[in-house]
Amino acid sequence: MDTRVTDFVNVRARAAELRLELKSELAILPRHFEDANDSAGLAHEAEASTLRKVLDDAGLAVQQLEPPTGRLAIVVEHTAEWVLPVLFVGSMLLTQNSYAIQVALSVLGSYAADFLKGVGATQEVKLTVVVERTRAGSCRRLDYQGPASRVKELEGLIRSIQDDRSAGSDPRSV
Amino acid sequence: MIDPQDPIHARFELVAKEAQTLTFLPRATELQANAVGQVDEFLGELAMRKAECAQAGDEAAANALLAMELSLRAVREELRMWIALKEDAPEKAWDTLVSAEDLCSFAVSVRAQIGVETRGLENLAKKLLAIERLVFPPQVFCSVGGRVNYRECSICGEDYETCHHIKGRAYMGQQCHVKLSFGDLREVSLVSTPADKRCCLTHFSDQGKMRNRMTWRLEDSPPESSPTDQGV
Repeated sequence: MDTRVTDFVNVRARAAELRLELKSELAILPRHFEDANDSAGLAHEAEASTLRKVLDDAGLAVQQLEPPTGRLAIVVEHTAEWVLPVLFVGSMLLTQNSYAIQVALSVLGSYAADFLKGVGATQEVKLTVVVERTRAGSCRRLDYQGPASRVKELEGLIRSIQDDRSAGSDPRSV
Repeated sequence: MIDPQDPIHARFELVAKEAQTLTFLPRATELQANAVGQVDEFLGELAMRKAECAQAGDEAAANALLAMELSLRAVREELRMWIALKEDAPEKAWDTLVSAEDLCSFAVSVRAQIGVETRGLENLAKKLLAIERLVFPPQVFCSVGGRVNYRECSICGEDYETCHHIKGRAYMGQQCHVKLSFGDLREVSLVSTPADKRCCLTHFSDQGKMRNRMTWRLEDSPPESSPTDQGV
């Protein structure tokens, strides 16, 4: 499996700038979150709602980032590539609920694996997790591409990203 | 829940096994057509039984019956594909192959949800993919992309963003799908991995006529209502 860790914008500050309400420690970020001029340029991935529901079903409160009034459009691209939306993991979640990220990764991995079983080909998932390292908002982005069965193994890497507060851009493979 | 001793299990195994014995090109066409009829007949029984279970509020049984139904429909589509190929109807064969692949995927999803072994269906999915690559010529696929403002849940008919149903999961014997309402259709792209493999190029112009990409025949004009009516 391949992983890559890079810098990411301060999610709380950026959400405020885009007038989006970030209320949860576990949230789904829309496409173009980093570079949109305003909320009109944002849209959720097609699988965002399903992902939120699957995590809700496992007892995890997940917020799909939306404006206070109305909601963002949904991007639908009819390809069979399995791209999961970007998941934001707040710093408090990692310190206060140690099982939440473990459960979230396990649920996501199982859901994607069940989906891919029926497709016939050996397919990989792409997953991006944005990890907030400090309450002040320093964030890093973890991109994963690999088998769905190994998504749950990202927990250790997510924890190391939060702990490693001085690390620079660090492409790595585990 | 369906009793493990319920005869419907044995009947399902028998119908599926007999049908799968015939899912090969050299098998006699009349036997394949007969097997399609037998599967159809049993699907009728399954539908009635499923409706009874749903009526009684037995969701586990209804979902188990749905898993059987989807699996058998996948096998039936594979049989139809071989028959269509022998009838020189490759576009119809392609459509039935894609239906078989889709149904197989749905069946795996429901069986995984209800905790039933999926290996047999996973193998069927691999076989269908191999047929797609080895029996049919390479296809050029299309895909639409855009922004959707509303998605309707097939289970409750409500807004998928706010209802509690999850796409792909079974509810009282029905699998949840979403119906899209495009607010902004932005593109039609050529892609290698489309969500719907029926969206493919069927003809191109050649020597003043139209070349059928499947048969490679030159045709005066593409049929007005091609068998691949979802193709472009």
